[in-house]
Amino acid sequence: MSTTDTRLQVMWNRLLAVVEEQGQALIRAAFSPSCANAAIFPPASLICKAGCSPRP
Amino acid sequence: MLAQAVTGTPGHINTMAEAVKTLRSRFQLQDMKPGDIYLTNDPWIASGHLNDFLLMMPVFYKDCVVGFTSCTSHLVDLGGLGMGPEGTDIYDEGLLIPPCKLMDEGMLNSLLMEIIKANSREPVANEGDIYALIACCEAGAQRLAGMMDEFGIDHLDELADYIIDTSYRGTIEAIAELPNGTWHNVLKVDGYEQEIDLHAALTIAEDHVALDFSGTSGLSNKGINVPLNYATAYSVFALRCIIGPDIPNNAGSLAPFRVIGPKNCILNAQPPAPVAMRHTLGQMTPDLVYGCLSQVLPDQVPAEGASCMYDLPLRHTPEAVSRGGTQFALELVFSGGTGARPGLDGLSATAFPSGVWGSQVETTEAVAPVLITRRELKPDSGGPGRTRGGLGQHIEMRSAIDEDFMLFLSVERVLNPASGRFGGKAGAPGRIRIGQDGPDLPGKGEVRVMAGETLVFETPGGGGFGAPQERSQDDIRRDLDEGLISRQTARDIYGFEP
Repeated sequence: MSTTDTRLQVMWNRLLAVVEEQGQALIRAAFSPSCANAAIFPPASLICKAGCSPRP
Repeated sequence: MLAQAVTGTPGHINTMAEAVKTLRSRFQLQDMKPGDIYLTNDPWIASGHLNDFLLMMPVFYKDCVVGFTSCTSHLVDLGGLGMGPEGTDIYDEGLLIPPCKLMDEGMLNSLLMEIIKANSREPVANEGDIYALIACCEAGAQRLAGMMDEFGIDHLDELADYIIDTSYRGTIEAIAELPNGTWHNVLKVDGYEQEIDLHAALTIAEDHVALDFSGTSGLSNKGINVPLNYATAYSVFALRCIIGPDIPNNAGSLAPFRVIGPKNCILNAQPPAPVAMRHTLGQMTPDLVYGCLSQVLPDQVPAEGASCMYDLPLRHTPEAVSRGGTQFALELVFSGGTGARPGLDGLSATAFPSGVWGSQVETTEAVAPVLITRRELKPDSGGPGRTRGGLGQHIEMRSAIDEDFMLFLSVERVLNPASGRFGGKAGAPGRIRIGQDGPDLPGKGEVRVMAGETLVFETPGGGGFGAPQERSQDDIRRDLDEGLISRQTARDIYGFEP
């Protein structure tokens, strides 16, 4: 694995941490019991690139 | 989609990944400003029913849109007939908001918020949850920009290519290890007016997996129909649990999975079909595709489980409003048992595939006038087998005040319990009744629980895997000690002599 790949892998992990924090922000702020306690329908969140399409 | 949080259900996440693409094509990048947030709850764009609100925020970095943060959450009430299968079309089911701007350069679209509140039995909860969704988008956007600062990158293109290409390649490699061919399965489910056949043909090719729902029964007149985005989300999630499960979920790992179904079969409902309870059948699709995949990978695929959430939308009676009674709308969710795994027992009172946590007694009693008087695992509900299915629950509930309440049922596995595999026995079916000795109620419909009456509710168990006679004596003894099986089951089904 080249240095660049290592850097990219670190950024990937960081991106997952960012989106996880985003999800926790929603759970902390929510009002209804279904969402606030993550009890019923845990809220979902994600990050997309501006283009957002796979390149097979 | 580049990354997702683990808090969400597949029904929200995998549909949202598609929805962002749809919203992206409706609105032009050059028209987007920092602080804009878009919103929709269109079931065919977002997440399959009106309750799921989807927000999408462009993320700006150095005056350019570099990506989007998005989130989805289930709002408790959108008016109409509310959560329940009784609507005859989407217009009965509540307020539909086409893709539009919720925030314009950081300013709230206050008319839209007023409309959402004016059309709900729970306006305050809706408003609070929408603000939470806004906070979620903003938190993600802020952190993403901060991360780009820290790593010194101006765009996500290189990182996105790396994530998507790596994930795509890994998934293709996992698919390439499987034999090629097409496998079929038919899953009979309870339905509403009549039982329904779900058909699947699973084709594994060199570089993709295709699923076709052709042959599946047509639409129901009731709100148990499923938009294809939602059926796809759960089917693909189930496949990804077995094929390359260690690869993160994103556009690259999702791309090799394709799902089709004829228009207006019940897994590809078109507008204006009613879809409020689309999760009832949507969450059965993993069992449908596992029936195919088990023929390919017999030692990796679990037995059938309770699968559909045991959802209890509760509400005040229609006359409570005029009488000055207590008004509320609440959705409780309980889980049954998951199917036995090839090497391990199924999980009791655990939601697979949805992964929802289930309602807590104290929280429920604090926000609605109900009292949960009993909640325990139901002995003998796990399907017997070499590995045992997970157990369902026995729950008893009544009104906490001198008022009736309404229950809107839409659950599965009352008539068709979870089957076992390879000699494993079926799990116990679900069962709903009023009072211990009351007659069994159907799994779908409206029920009035009178003040003083007890609603008795049993969630289904998962199916067993392998012949029960092959179960280890230690495991049978432990199940007996923990009260998970009765002496009679141990003796008659497992052939256990203490």
